[in-house]
Amino acid sequence: MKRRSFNSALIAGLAAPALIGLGTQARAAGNPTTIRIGFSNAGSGGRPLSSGTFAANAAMLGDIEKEFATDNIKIEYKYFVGAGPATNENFANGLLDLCFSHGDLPFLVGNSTGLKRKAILSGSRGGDVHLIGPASSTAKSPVDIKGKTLSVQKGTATQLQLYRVLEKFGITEPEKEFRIISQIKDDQRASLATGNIAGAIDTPFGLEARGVAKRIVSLYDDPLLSSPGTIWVGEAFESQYPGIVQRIVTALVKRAHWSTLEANRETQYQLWTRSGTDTYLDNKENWSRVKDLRTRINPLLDDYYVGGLQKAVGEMKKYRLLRREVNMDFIERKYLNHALAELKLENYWPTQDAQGKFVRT
Amino acid sequence: MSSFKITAQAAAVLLALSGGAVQAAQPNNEINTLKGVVSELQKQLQELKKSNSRASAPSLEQARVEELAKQVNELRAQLAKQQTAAQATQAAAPAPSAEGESAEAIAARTSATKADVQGLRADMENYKYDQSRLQERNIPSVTRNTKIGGSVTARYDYQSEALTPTNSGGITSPNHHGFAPLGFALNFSGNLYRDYAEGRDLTYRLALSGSNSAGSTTTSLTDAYLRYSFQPATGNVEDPLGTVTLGQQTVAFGLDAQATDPEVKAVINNAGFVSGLSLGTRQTGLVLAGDFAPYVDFSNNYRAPLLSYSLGLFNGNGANRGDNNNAKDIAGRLVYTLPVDYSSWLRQLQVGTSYYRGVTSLAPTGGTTQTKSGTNNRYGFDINWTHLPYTVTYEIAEGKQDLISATKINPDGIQRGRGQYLNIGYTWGEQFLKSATGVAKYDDFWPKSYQAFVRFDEFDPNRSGLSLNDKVLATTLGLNIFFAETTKLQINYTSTRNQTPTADKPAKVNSVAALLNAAF
Repeated sequence: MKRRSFNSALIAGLAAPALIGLGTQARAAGNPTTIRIGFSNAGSGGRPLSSGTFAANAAMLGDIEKEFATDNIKIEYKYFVGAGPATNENFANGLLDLCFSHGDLPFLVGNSTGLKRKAILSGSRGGDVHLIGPASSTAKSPVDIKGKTLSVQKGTATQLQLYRVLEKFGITEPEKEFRIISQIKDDQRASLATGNIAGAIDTPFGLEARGVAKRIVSLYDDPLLSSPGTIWVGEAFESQYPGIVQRIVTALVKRAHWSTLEANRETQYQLWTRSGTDTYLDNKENWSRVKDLRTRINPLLDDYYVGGLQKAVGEMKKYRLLRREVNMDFIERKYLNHALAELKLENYWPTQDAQGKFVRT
Repeated sequence: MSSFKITAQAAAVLLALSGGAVQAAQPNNEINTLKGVVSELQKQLQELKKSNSRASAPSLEQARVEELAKQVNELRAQLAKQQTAAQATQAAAPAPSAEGESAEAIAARTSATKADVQGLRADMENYKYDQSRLQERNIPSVTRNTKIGGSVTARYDYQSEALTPTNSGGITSPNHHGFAPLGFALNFSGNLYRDYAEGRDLTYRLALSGSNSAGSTTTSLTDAYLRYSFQPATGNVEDPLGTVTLGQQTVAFGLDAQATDPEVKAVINNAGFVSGLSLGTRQTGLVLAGDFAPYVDFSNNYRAPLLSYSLGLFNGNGANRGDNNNAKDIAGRLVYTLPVDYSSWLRQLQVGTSYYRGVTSLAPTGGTTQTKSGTNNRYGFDINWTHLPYTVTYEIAEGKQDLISATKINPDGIQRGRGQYLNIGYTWGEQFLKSATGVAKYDDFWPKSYQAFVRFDEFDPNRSGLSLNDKVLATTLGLNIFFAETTKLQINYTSTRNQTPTADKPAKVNSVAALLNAAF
């Protein structure tokens, strides 16, 4: 290749970044034209729906759209079948402004690799954990299936949750004591049906009804088995549009309050069933144990939220899932505090300490 | 007379009950009325019994009393049935709502009746019937798991120099522009054996490609192979991949030579060395391919196999032909990918090297019988960096080919060719991001992507010092628009300089080609 040609190539390459403007979202000076919001999950069969959280309720009931209806701002929801890792990839490529559900592991690993975002609300907390096996399994404990294959979608919060369950039964080196493969939920369920995996974390009721799985162990409302999910905003979006962020947070806190009211319990079961992730009866059975909805539907960034994520960082290091340090300065409480004051809900939700014990009920 | 009155009343009540019993919802006041009638009948019966016992009634009166007692018992049974039905109806009816209670909450404590369940059952049976009817009548079936695909390719060309058309047929005149004949492809692929336990699947692919030329359509077999995964392909991205492929297939040499179909080409025309060094043709043989030590960044679902390999044994004389000699050609390729996280700037930096050892049967011009066997070797090196939105690719390939005899410009009887290109691209849009294409959606939405690039391509067919100024230099500016997962429009502006011009290859040609490839 002649030098002249090669120089031309270099110039063309250097000029390419100028085209970036064509690819990024055009934004007005005052308001964004579109707010792009992600969910790290999707309904069954690729349905653009989420379930089980107040943020899912807000999306299904159109809260954010209503909030910005007069501002001519388009709300674009993205439900990622690829879960938390896909949320990271989308944000890393500049295609996301906020996320309404992100589990501890992908959120923290993403932050450690330089993704800049602020945690503005806690998205979810608590819940029951079921380790299930094929219908033919005779195991009564994870110890009974040592050496066999477990399935989990690696890179998601469920991976860490699986390791915590195993540790509870004295298994501290899960990758050595099991063959742990990465599969999405649909594949896990197919593998359970064919008996090719010995265990997975999943909701058991529907699979048991179909006769393809059975519970190995169920652990109810153990605050140390999971850590709160995060609702975050990208730092660039937050610094450019703090007013918009406040309006979103206030709308979400308002919906969180609605979601804790006993009168709306049944409405939520019906809403969540639309996603198809869990059946109506699964939702009902999962939540029937929750007598006070405020204990699980809680947007606070309290000691339990902070402690849960700090604990997760330690665990990720221990299990060699984290290659870099995580700076915990990503928590931004000002939007939540303002919303609580505006809605007069400062003392409404119970608070928990870092171990999950309720401090204020 | 009194007995007649009682019997008439009883008959009236029975009639009323027989009509009302089929009504699911009898008002409470009607039941109360019935209760009153029954109670009245009971009273009258007791009085009659009393009077009969006092008067030592004859057997006829006794029979009437027994008849009345029977009627009263029947009435009691029907009344009880009526009350049960009324209670069930009351239970099924929506309960009055408490203050602030949602419709869903009221629905949650409202029982379904047997009729509701039967209705639902009927709906399900209807659905099952519809599905089975649809399956039987309107859905094509296959013996084994099969996926059908294909594509249609339309193209329009413009060139600055008027050239004689090569595929129009009939009487021709040199032209500057025109539509190219349509191209099409059809392929079938699927699982012949799915190993649920270990993922050691046996798959197949059969692909046909067609082109129209001079008024006729030619269809030829492109891919036809069986592939066995000897490494588990369970979908676990940390597992290495490994396959053995038997049949007709593309040869893993470099990057551009493997992009033989319009569906996968980033530039409409391949680099000069692909055809110049007779690369880019399919071969029949056996190929072992896979990777080692994949590096996985689960935070972004990113997989980077440390080393990918491919080793093939082929006939060496191209597609759809039996072997023409006893020698077999060997093709090998190794690719190293930097094991870094998705967030790294060095993500998807790959370095590859390729080798093809070929044996050709040589004969004098016009001869069809081999008189000499010669080597036909190719060497390649490539480096590719795809860190969206940026893409940079550089590739070089050399060929060393024995000739039937020494020539004036190749006195050693070996022709050496070399080609290389540099491609710099910029992509905007979401189509090449797994997170974007994997977004849940109801509709057929697919993110669009745009790709602008410039490619500098050079091919020297004979590097002999006695064969100077025979290079072909082509600079291409291009824009690819990806409308959907499988539909793209490519517009290429190419400036070509032929250092050794011929009638169909002028010294300088500027051309524009637009190609629409729609796959399904």
